[in-house]
Amino acid sequence: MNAVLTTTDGRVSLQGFCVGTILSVSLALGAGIASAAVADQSPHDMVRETSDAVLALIEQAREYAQDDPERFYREVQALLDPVVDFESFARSVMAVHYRNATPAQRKRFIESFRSGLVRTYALALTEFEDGEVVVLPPDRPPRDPRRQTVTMQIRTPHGAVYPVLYSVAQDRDGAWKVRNLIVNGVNMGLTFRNQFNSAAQDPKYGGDLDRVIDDWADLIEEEPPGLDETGDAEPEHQA
Amino acid sequence: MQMRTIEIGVGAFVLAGFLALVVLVVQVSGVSLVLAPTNSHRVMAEFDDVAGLRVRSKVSMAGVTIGRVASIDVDPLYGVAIVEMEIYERSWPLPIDTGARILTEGILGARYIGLMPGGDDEMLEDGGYIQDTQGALVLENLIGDLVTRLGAS
Repeated sequence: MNAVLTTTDGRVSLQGFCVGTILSVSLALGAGIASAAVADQSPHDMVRETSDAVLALIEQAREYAQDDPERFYREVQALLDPVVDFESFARSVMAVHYRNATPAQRKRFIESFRSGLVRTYALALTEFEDGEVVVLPPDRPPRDPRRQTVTMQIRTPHGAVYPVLYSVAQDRDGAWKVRNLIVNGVNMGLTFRNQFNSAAQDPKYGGDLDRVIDDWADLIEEEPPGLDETGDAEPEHQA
Repeated sequence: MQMRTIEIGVGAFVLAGFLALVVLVVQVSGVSLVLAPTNSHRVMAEFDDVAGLRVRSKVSMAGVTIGRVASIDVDPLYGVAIVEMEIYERSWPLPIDTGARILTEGILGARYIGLMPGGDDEMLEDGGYIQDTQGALVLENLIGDLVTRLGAS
């Protein structure tokens, strides 16, 4: 009995120590940044809180995600909307074509980009089961105080670690928003930009931006190779 | 006398052969020997891996050479490579959201930097940093990744 108590005590104090160190390290680094940019919430806290909220949502959504995916997408989108700058993200994907696009085309692309990203993300999440998500404390002072990179590690139960880097920037109100992400060394923003550019030059679309925008969701849903395995629905079809 | 002309001829032929070899090596390595025009602008970029990129490697946009690598440094504290590029005057300015990727040219695998123009109205300053970069994809890392993925499934 006594032994159990001491081990529990030992664990608690050890955890307390770890959290304390991380906190003090991030605070020490944060102090340097805070003088340059005043923000209520650090980008690391923002990413950590959002990923906690998303993980909590997956737990709840397990029952209905299969039957009512639209509801699941809506809920994921509601969590991502305040923290992802879809407009800047979409603009950097359209890149040179953004200048030639009409305001209506731009708006339509931002919408289509947003729902495409949310769907891809939500689908990937349903696959995610017993893994662990860790947001690493900031490791170095940013070069530009208005832009930072937040490193997150996704650890699967099999021991694989996937680093995800979020590029965050401060908007006019001082809130940190995600503008790009680098998954396992692959810069998604640049990959999308390359895809959009190839599609815009593809004779199939004849340089018609409207048609590229219409097909955008299909273009990126083909993209992540791991997602084909998500098809839990396929065996059911056969049965 | 005729012996002599033949010997000189053979010598010249061998020399020309060596010269051709040198030209070939320089061409294949993707290193440009042409001096940069005096009017060039500096742009910096950080990469997580530059594998095989060298000083004087090409910097291109849409396949057109628009500059070259001026210097490559490493930040030993954080393990990132810092690449300084010279961009020729005729291709300046570049939008601030220009992206930089390290690409491979041909089957011999000379590395170069490919720039992708962005859509921002704001332009990069001389000496400014490119935010969006994609480092070289190293074969060993990809294999390592595959092995853990196979092990998992």
